[in-house]
Amino acid sequence: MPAAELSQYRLLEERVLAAMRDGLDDAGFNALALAIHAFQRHWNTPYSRFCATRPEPRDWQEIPPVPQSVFKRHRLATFPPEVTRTLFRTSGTTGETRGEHHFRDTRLYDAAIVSMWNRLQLPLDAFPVFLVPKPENAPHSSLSHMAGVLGAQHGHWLIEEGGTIDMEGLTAAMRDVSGSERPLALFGTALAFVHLFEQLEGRRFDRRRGSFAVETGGYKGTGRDIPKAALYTRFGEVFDIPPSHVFNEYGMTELSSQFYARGVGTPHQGPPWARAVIIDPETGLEVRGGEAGIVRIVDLANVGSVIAIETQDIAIRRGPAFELIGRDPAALPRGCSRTADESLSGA
Amino acid sequence: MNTADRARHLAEAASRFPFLGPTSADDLLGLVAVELGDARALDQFVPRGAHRAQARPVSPLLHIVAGNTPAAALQTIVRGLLLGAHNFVKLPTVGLPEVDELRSALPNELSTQVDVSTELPDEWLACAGAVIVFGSDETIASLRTRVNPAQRFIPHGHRVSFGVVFDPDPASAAEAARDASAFDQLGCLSPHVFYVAGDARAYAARLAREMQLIQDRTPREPVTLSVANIIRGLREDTAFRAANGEGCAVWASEACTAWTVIFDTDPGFPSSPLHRTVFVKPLPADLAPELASVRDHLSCAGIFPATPDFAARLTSSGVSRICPLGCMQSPPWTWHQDGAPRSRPQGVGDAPVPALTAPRLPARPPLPPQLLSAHPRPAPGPHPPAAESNRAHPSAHTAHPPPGKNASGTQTAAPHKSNTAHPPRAGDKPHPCAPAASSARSPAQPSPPRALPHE
Repeated sequence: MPAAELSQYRLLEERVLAAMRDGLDDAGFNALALAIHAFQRHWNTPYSRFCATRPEPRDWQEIPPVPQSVFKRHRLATFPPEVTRTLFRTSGTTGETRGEHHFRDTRLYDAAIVSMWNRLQLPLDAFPVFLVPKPENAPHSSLSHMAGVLGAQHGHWLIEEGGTIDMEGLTAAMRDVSGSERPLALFGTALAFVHLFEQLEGRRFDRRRGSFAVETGGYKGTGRDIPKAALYTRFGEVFDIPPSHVFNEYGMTELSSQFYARGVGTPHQGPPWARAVIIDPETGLEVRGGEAGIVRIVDLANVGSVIAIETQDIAIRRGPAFELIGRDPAALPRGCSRTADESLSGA
Repeated sequence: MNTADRARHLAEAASRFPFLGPTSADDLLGLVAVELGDARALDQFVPRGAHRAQARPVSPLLHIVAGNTPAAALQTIVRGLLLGAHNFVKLPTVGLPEVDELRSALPNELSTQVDVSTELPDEWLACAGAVIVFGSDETIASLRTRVNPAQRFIPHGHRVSFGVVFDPDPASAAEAARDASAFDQLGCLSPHVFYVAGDARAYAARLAREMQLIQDRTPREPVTLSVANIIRGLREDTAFRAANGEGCAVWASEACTAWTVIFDTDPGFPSSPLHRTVFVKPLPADLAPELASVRDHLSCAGIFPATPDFAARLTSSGVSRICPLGCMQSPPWTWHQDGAPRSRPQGVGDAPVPALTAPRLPARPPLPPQLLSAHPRPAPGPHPPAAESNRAHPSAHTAHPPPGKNASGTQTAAPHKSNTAHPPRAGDKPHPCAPAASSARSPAQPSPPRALPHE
């Protein structure tokens, strides 16, 4: 019954929103995770069939995770297709099957973005400059949607429809920043920043106090890989933003929440409503601290799909955080930055 | 040292490596005879048509070998030495201990004909008469641009292999498991998939039991995190599909990724992440569409039963070798890798037709443990798997969870109960891949000698 599903969804949504507002302790996380799982186990038909082959979880860590690849072949949603209002797709090459994440609305998704930025004490009233396509140009890009949430009204968008960087727009944006009291907030894919720094050819901009940058996505097999430390140094050289004010965002189409690392050599941290477990792919068990494994995420903001997702990424467990090693080199290039990057890499 | 002396020393050294298969001096002389028409062709003038000729090897030879299996590296070096060539061997970065072992087993006169390095000196490439490369297509493309027109270039790039079980005799599952486990499936002769007539799902279950038996005797070498991750992802993805009624099922080693058998009715050639991960698919009436995506990369088909009639069904499939199931990783010395002879003078007319070796499968052979596991190797080597690729075809299957198994089709192997294979023991019948049991019709490989015809 869709009405029953909707009412249950809304109840769980409220509980997650409360967690975003008030925080969540271990017991609260466990209880909410099991409640959402029970809901998904009932209403998400493909997942329900999968769970029927697995034992009932006794705690959140036993919730059966789905590999990311499942999003390519199955519609993982607790609601019927006609209810979908927002659809995010993984990027990929022509002919490649893309994963899809369905949303009935983005209330939780948007709240997760804003709440996490508040936790990171990143000013939402900064002067944003985006190196991702506008949401209207990339309606299925979760990254563009995220940028839209952060600065739909007052941001400068530097990725043109053809995928090139609007350098004149950058000049105009920096002029506007200099006449504003607000700090600069740069947001884009790592590859876009690499291209931007190449095109700036030694130009420099003065930093306004409190300015910061958020890069995401890696390079995704483009052959343009440069070390993170070198990239962060360029932020300092061009925008006078020190590495300590550069953040890496770790997220993916299949999730609703993001993890962040600040500067170079620091682990990624998630919000209270999303946890990462680093597991040994041989055994499926959590690795010990300091050991490497693959990243499994339990994201309670994924109420309408599946909260437990196993990624293709490798990381080292660092307490409750993790040090991201990167995409599995053997895995196909994919990820949310590719939509923004595809035209750039071909430029 | 003449050819017979070299063959004797090389056979003695090669006997230290059971994965090379039985190797006698006569085998090696037979290789020379098959390739050059006379076993003495490298030592003296021998009759050749209306005249007499003596063959002389191209020398030095540059072998660029990969780390996935030591067999290909040793075979190419042995062949080069057999011909009397000097051999430069570019090893993988992590080295290849078997090459050092081979050199130490040779008399000084031969061992000094082998220089090894993990780097590729420019002077080696400049002076080599022939360059033999085992590696990825990218490696080969790169090297191809560096050889000059006078140098013979012999590439062995990315290759995939498969098996066909025309008669699902349960006994053949042990042979299939042998092929899927040898060298941890990292060779270009390793099967990615078995196409099975009849009840392919039931065959997959039998194969799973045999994979576990081999694992019990000869555990797979440890794999990298990346490889384990890919195998785990493939298992879970298939289990999800199985739970949702798609025609697939998984059998897997417990609490590790040591082996995996996946039954799958999805169309198209499946790309295995290797390391003992193998697919079983129903044998279609026409294999061509299944093989179309990999036709240019096909190497070997193992068949059961190994009869000329069944082999004839695959001669136009694109493979360059057809052999009995259980022998895929044991090519005879006279095998033409990738269908091309390399010991024979050019211009003799070598059609790259599939070579059927050992057309009859004798009783179950012993399983040399060394065959199944080489030394630990951190990298998969020259024929990298294509990760999760090539499986993008939409599925339309029916669900048939195996009787008595859970609905997902995900299973772990029952630890060695119903056992159809047996460990190697003295008195076992000879392996069908042994030269004595084969009727190889194709010549062999490495260094290309030049014929110098003389009246």
